[in-house]
Amino acid sequence: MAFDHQKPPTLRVSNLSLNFGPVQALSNVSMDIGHGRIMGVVGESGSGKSTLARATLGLLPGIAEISAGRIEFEGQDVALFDAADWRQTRGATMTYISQDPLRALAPTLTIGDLMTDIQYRSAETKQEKRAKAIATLERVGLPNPEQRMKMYPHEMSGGQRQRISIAMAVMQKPALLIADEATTALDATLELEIIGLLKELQSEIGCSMMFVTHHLGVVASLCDDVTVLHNGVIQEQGTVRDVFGSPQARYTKTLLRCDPAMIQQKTRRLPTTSDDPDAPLVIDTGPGDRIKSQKPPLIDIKNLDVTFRQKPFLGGLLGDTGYEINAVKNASLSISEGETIAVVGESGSGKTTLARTIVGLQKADAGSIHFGGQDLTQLTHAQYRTIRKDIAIMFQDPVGALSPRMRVSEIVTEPLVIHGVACEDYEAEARRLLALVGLDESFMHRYPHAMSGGQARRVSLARAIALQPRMIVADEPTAGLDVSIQGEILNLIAEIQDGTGVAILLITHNLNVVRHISDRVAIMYMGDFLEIGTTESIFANPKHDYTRKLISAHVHPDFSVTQAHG
Amino acid sequence: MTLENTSSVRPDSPIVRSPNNLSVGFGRLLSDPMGVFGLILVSTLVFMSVFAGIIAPYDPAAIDVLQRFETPSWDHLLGTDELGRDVFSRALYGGQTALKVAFMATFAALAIGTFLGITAAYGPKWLDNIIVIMLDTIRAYPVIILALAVGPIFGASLTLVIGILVFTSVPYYGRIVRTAALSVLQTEYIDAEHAMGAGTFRVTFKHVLPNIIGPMLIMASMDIPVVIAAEAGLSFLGVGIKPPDTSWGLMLDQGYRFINRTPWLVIAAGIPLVIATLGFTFLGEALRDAFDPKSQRAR
Repeated sequence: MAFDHQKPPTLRVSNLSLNFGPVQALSNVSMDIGHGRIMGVVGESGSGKSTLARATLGLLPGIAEISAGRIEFEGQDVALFDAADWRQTRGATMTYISQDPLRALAPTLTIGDLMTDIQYRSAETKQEKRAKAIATLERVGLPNPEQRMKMYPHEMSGGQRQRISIAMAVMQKPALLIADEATTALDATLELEIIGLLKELQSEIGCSMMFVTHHLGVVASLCDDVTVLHNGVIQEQGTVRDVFGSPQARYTKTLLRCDPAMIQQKTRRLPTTSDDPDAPLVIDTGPGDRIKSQKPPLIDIKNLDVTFRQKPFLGGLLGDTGYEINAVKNASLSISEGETIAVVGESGSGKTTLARTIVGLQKADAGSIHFGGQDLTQLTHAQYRTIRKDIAIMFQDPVGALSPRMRVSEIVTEPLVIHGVACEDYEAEARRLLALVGLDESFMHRYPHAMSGGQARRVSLARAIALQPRMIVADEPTAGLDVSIQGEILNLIAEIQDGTGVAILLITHNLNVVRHISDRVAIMYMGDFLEIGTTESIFANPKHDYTRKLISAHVHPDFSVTQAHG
Repeated sequence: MTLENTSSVRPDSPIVRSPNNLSVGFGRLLSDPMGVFGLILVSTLVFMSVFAGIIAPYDPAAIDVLQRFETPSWDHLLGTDELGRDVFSRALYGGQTALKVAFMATFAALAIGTFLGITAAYGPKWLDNIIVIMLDTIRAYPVIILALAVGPIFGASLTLVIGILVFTSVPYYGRIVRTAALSVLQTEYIDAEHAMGAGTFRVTFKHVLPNIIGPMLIMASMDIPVVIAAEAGLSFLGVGIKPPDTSWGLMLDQGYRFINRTPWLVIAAGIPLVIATLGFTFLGEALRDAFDPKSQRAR
């Protein structure tokens, strides 16, 4: 069959404009997804990318209103679909994979129930459906599918749950598969596996796919075409090769530039959206004296053990053994003044527990943490108070780490109040701190919920530096931030470090960021450090297989290094 | 396409909401017909009760044996009772009693419950267990049975009614506050406070309390009709308000004995009771909807 002009594309969105009340979510968006093509929809939070996916699925909230344009699925206008039409379509010819598989899978049904229920349209017998379910689970790489048919979603790991979601989505051999940030919640190594799986399945079934993501690397390695959305407007559209190879729109250029994975050389200053995207990249190696090993260690962690325990009460009589999780075991690490050390590991590796133990929110079971001549693990609660002036922590959730009923001016000066530091004018001090993190006076009287993630992160940083600590523990400082904001925050942290000589313990799973801003890297796995070394040496010749796997797992948006498409 | 507005600092970014949640909430309350209806009923009731002394045409305790069981007339809007007392005046003063009991009991129960709930959530595990067991034990007692048991011991009075209602409402608030405080204590901002070195007092009053008190006040407003009905019930059973004071429950009790002769007495006490219950329930529900961000999408 030569070029078929009669057959419409699997999905055609033409001039779609959509608004939520007064807010314009999408304006004049057009997009064709041809048969067997994978379309990546890329954008930052609030760009309208998820709205586009939900509009296609007919799952918009009540206040959404399509003011112009149409969505055609296999030649049919979905606006004309009634409930019965949708039942024929969704889950059969058009399927969906969500970001959070735990919330997407009904918690009271077993995997077997979920997998056979979804075949309700077919006339096959129960045994046939079951066999098909097991075969599909096997196909998506779920180990022991027979046994897992009896298990519940919460008994699976995140990666396994996402495999089940994928199995449910592909079992009916859909014409269009819509995946909304399907790999975002997964660790890097898992992400790579899931992307590989999706690619295989897509070519096996021959379906079209809409892949919504904010991750440029994923698009480069998975998609054929890409649509770049910003504020509900398409910035650029075309094949991945064209758009990523020679971006035309200013926004696309900026987005690609801001991704730290795209910068080969190590730079202490990351590009931001306010830079001119056409100017050459500035590589900043930082002050020459940033060689830290000569400086005395500021904090010395030796053989640290942290265990979470639950003793069985009377349940012990019935065989309940309680549990004991060794979150951190025998970990040793020392940090010098003024250095940035990154603790890298996947979720559950114990990195956050380590951070919480250092700041005294979690008790250590064994080992020592020496800081300023004292062993922190031996201090009482009251004695710890003085240490808290010297060690500040920034938490993961940018907005959630700020007390919701306090204004920004109160939040940033709160450490001064708590420690009774003499301060003549708290307002002026708050203004000064905010200026340091690049926020103007208009933020003084805001509440946390009225700020974006990046702004809230700046407030957290201002609060962390209020008492001029000697060390800042930053737990995933870029989590939940868009790539363009991420650079700004990291630059700010680096600037503050250059100005004050504060040591930074960076906890993250984002190796692309680590490569640029940290002096040393500690790889954490199952509560223990596998290797600790300078950033250069870890990336150049990793000693452990796990480290190698972690480094190679980072999907790269640079088109030349990912596999060719055709 | 404008990239200029995506610079590092965006003072006028679109996610800025009005910081004044209070005016937004009340605006939403006034857009809810049920809320407005509740507000009208409640404010009428409050007005009539507060100014009972001015509005009431007669002294509620003034006995006039010559005018017993009068039917409603211009002289006696709701007639008179078996002692010739003006029923309308008595109903007004009954409202005063009802509101006094409801507000005092609810407020005291809320205060004690909040204190116990936060102590349980924040305190050590053993203290938590003791408080929870205590609250659950109290909750297991039926209000009426308890009142019938202690009424004869202490002698029925306004104080006793309030005491019993506080005692039996505390577990309700204590339990809810404890749960709410526990969930606040698990948030990252409380971790952040602890990491900064904030003490118990500061965490409790600056961070936990402000974040749970709003919903608690709304819950309390929904509990007021329950307390009003309970007071009426206790007075009806004779373990509540005693003459010469008036209460709707007391009026119902007296009217009930003469229901064959004149239905006015029961109606005069029953109607305000119904209005109060409906008014506070409507208002409470509308308040909850108006100030609960989650219910925003539903309307």
